[in-house]
Amino acid sequence: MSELTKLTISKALKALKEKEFSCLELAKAHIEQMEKYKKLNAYITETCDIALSQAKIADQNYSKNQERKLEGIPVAVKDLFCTKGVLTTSGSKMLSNFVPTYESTVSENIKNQGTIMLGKTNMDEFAMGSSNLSSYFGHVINPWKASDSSENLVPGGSSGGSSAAVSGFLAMAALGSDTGGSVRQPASYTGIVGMKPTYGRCSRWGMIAFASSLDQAGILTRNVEDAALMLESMMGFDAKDSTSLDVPVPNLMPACSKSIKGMRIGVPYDLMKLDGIDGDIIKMWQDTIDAMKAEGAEIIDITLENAKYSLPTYYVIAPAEASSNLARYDGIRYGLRPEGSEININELYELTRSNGFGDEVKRRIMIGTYVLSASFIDAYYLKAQRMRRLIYNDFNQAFTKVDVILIPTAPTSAFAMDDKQDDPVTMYLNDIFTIPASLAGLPCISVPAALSTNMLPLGMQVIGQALDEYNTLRVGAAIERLFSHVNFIPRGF
Amino acid sequence: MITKDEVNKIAKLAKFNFDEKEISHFQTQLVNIMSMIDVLTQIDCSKIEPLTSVCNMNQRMREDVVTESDIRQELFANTSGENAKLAKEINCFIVPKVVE
Repeated sequence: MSELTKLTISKALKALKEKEFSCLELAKAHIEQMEKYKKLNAYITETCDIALSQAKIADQNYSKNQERKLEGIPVAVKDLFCTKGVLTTSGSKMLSNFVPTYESTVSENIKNQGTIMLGKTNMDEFAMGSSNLSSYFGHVINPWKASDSSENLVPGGSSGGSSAAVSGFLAMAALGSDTGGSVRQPASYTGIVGMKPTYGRCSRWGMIAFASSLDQAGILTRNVEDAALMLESMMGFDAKDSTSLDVPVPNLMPACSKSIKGMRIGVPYDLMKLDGIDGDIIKMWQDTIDAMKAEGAEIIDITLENAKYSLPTYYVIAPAEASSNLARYDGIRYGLRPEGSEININELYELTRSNGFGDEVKRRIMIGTYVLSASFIDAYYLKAQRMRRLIYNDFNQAFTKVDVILIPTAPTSAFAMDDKQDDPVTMYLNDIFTIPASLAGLPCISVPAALSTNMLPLGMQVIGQALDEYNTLRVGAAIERLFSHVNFIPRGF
Repeated sequence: MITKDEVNKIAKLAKFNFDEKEISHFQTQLVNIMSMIDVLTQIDCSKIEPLTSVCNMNQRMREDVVTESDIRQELFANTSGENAKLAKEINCFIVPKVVE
């Protein structure tokens, strides 16, 4: 493999400026790697021609000393960001023919800073999943394998194509989206960094909707500094999204080298007692706490009393919003449309939706329709919204005493493709540590912090206060420094 | 416990056409999922205001000015199926007959 693909974004930008290699060479090195590891199935659509032509423009900008902030950096884009003129499927048969006529704000923002698009990454259908097993375009394979098995592992989800691409050096960074953990959990499963900023920081315009009150764009990179650099370009107010926050974008890079001495780090020790958490995860959690103490941080025991209800709360709210959002897929204006002239309008709707959606999406639409139906809206939907406020209040209460909260990203390491497929509830338990911050709309980052006993990467999660991406990254970078002796490159890569 | 009749009713509301086998499949799974969710019904939080969004949902106002001009061609660019070509020619979405 070309060493060019192994560079960090900061180092690549410096080398491009000093003409050590060209943007075209950097793009070609990544395209070769994509070719070599096609079997990972990380990309639904490869856009090599676009990448090469963008690389040529980037090289011209460097030669004129007019380079932009991310000029020439090859990135991947999750296939739910609408990209003008490029197939955008959201991992679904329903949109297998959809070519947007407009660009999402987030992908536009990074393009305007000079990134090069290598392709659109695979994902769980409509971002519903934690394994990438629900994509219409086939499973994504995790570049990692356990030391005691040759089985293929899932890359996490729903941004599983993005995590596999970044972990396997098929892109320097990848856009993802996080509704209940879809950036952080795949980052944890593949030994990379995944960050979701505060809800409202990134515009949702042009991002195919799953659950609108939770959906937020995020970034997957191989180190914390790269995540900070990318986020500075992705975030920002957008009048086209009514939930976009009209606040200035902070300068995040200095956070990555700042000491955590004197910081107050909250640990909800009661969550360590939840069922189903691997011993390796508990050990990583404890080791991280000890290492932070040694760095001069103050560890404070906090209680998130209602966090244990996050899972049922989320699995009412997210499907409810999804059932409403996905009502638009009716076969009339775009997307799949069944053939046959002898059908009436209701048959057209039913045929479109029954053929166009996969099992997981249908299941969530069914749950959403049920909890929103007249007889149950009070018992489930409004109840879940009340519980959401209690969870939100718990965080606010905790943040009167601490600067950030430290919990694992996922209860286990990446699992084999054949596991957990039959029982949706077992699958949903993967999200237990990521959902609370999603419900409260808080910034959070997953950083690799340990290897399991069978040599798979495990991620620690830092949750910050609303709009405090700075301290979230600061503690994330500290974790990265504390465990820099661990090798988080998948074997053979 | 969710019955088959209820699954049928939800499927109809959600515009799905399921056969018997699918109805059974979703019934089993919905029962399992709802039993995980049912813990919520045991908690009394009736005095708590529901949280719809973590954002301030006030609508922003703007001047009434045209921001996008004629994008008619773009709107019809993604029509599919046997009438797609005609739809693009006449700039209309074509649907089955709705009124008898």
